Amino acid sequence: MEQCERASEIERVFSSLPSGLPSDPLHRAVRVSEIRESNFSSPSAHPSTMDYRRRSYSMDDLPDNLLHMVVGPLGLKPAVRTSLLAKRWRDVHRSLPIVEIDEDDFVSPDTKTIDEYEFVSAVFAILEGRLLPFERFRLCCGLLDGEGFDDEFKKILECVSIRERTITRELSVIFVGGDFYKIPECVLFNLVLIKLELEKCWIDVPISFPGLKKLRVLFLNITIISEGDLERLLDNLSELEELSLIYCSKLHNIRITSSSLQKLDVVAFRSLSIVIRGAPCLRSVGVIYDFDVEEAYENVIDDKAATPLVGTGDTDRLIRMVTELQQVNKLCLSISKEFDKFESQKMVSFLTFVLASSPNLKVLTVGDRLYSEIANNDLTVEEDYWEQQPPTVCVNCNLQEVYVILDGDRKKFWVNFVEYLLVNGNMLKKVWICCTKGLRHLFEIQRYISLIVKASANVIIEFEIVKKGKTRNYFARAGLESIY
Amino acid sequence: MDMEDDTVQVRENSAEDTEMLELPKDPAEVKASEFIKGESSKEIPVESQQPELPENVVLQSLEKEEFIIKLAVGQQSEIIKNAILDGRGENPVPLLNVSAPILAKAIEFWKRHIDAAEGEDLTEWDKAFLGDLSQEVLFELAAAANYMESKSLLDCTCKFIADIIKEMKVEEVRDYFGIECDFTEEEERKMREDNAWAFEQ
Repeated sequence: MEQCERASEIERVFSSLPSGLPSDPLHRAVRVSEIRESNFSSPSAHPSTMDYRRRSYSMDDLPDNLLHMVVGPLGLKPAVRTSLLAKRWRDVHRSLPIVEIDEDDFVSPDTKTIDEYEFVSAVFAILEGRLLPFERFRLCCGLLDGEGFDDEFKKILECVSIRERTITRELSVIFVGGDFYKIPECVLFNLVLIKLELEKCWIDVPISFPGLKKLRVLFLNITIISEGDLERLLDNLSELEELSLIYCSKLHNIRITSSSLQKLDVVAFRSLSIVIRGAPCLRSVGVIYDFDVEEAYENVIDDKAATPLVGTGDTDRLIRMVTELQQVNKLCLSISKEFDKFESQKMVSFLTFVLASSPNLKVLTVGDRLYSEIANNDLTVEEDYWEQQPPTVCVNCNLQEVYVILDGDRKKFWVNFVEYLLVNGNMLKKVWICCTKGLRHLFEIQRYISLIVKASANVIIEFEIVKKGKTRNYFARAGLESIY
Repeated sequence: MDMEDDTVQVRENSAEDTEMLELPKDPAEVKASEFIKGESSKEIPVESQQPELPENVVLQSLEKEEFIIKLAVGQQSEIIKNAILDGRGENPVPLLNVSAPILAKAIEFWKRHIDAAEGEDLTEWDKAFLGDLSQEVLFELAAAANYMESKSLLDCTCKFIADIIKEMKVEEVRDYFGIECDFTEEEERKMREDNAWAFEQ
């Protein structure tokens, strides 16, 4: 009861503030009322026609939300320095909607180290001087754990999670130290949080917690969370729309049940079991198994405690995940090298399965990074496999964009696949092929493709060359923005 | 599709960014579902179901001076966009907080951005455009962009001002923008002390 009151109290605080960006719904709500009432009393509000005619315009006449847009991007320290300009400017930095604190800004140029006490007291000074809650609060540092600052950082996170004047709607905690930072429970008590981003953290989820009911985006990057805790989170986050699980090494079997989830991205350095059960709003799924990174995160893989994977094999697991994706519009799949159970035959059947079972698929991204040692042993795929495939509903009616990222040696396989899509894809608008083998390779593919008779006359085909092993950036282009 | 409903939606449902030309249903999805049911393909609802929109928009400045622009140009301002989508189709659109020379500059900016080729980088043009303006006009333009809810113009002007301030010390910023320091020496000293971490160089 009390919590509901607190939550609505805080909501009221938020909705009565002018926010920084004009397209932000909060700001628009304020603007509409301003236009309707034309009643500006404070000098820092929008100038009325009378003010305008009276004197010449100076920067001091600009309303607070505009000054926020000027001061905010200057960076943390310069923003605070603007308070010295004049009395008009004294409090501008104290109500900035977005505050990002990075320990790199506190590196002393002489000693090249960070004065920890100075850093911590600076963060406290910012919080104490705060006039309004945060829209976004980002903390990036390596001091979070150990070094005797545990209590201080717990207090900082308490301020931005439960204290009314310093609460934040978007929180990012990025740990850059050696180990993992254990997120204190207070973060889960935030009643207004809509976006949470954690990197290199560790989170335990209690059976029930009062906050995060409004959370829409959850981004867990290199974060330790157990399978049970993830399920508990999803149970409680009734408005969650986007979930990204990037290299969360403790997760092997991921079960997704969420009535609100629209977008799911999973990046792992090995094959997982992803079971999607009851996610009617899910429209976009991205799965990347990125084995190259395994060496880098060696110390993080805790195989002894690993629960056994459900399902009989990697391909079967992927196929099972795909059976739940009938509503999905956007699918991104990439398997990288050493995933040696993914022989061509299985890859082929998997792709066929994807196309058959996701009739609403509009955007498909596939990446392949299998190298020659494996590819040369693949004699199991018939040359004309794709020619013989009947077109599926999704290819005929829905598929609009296809992104193919070739970083391996199975050129012919993928070119035949693209040919199949072009010949049958009536709604295709764009096909984008990225390969790593150099111009000659590219020209061959280009020439072959230009000779194909395409079902969709207006399809645009783009090619791009990228350095071997550097294909990761291209997933961002192809729609996996949340990851890269 | 009932236009009246759309009007109400645009006005009151300010919590959502409603796209101007919203199709009733995705034609591709309609086709697919019929395909699955086994029916023969029917007529797909076509975009021409959209109501008639004027090709040109008339804007009225503070001095009641009128500017005629193409709809696409004016749509870069949410105020103008909404005024047109409104069932009553306010034409001319009154922009009583924007004076004529400022409105002319805003229109010039919008026109250049609409005419830009896809992927064309306009940062140089933006810098030159804003650099030509006097400080006073620059601030007025920023305030106008805020009032007319034109994100592109607002972002551009604020970034331009921020870039100037970025390189300067406090005294330099005061000089450049003619900001009068109304702190006493004592007050200023105390402020530097309180936030010492931000002031060491």
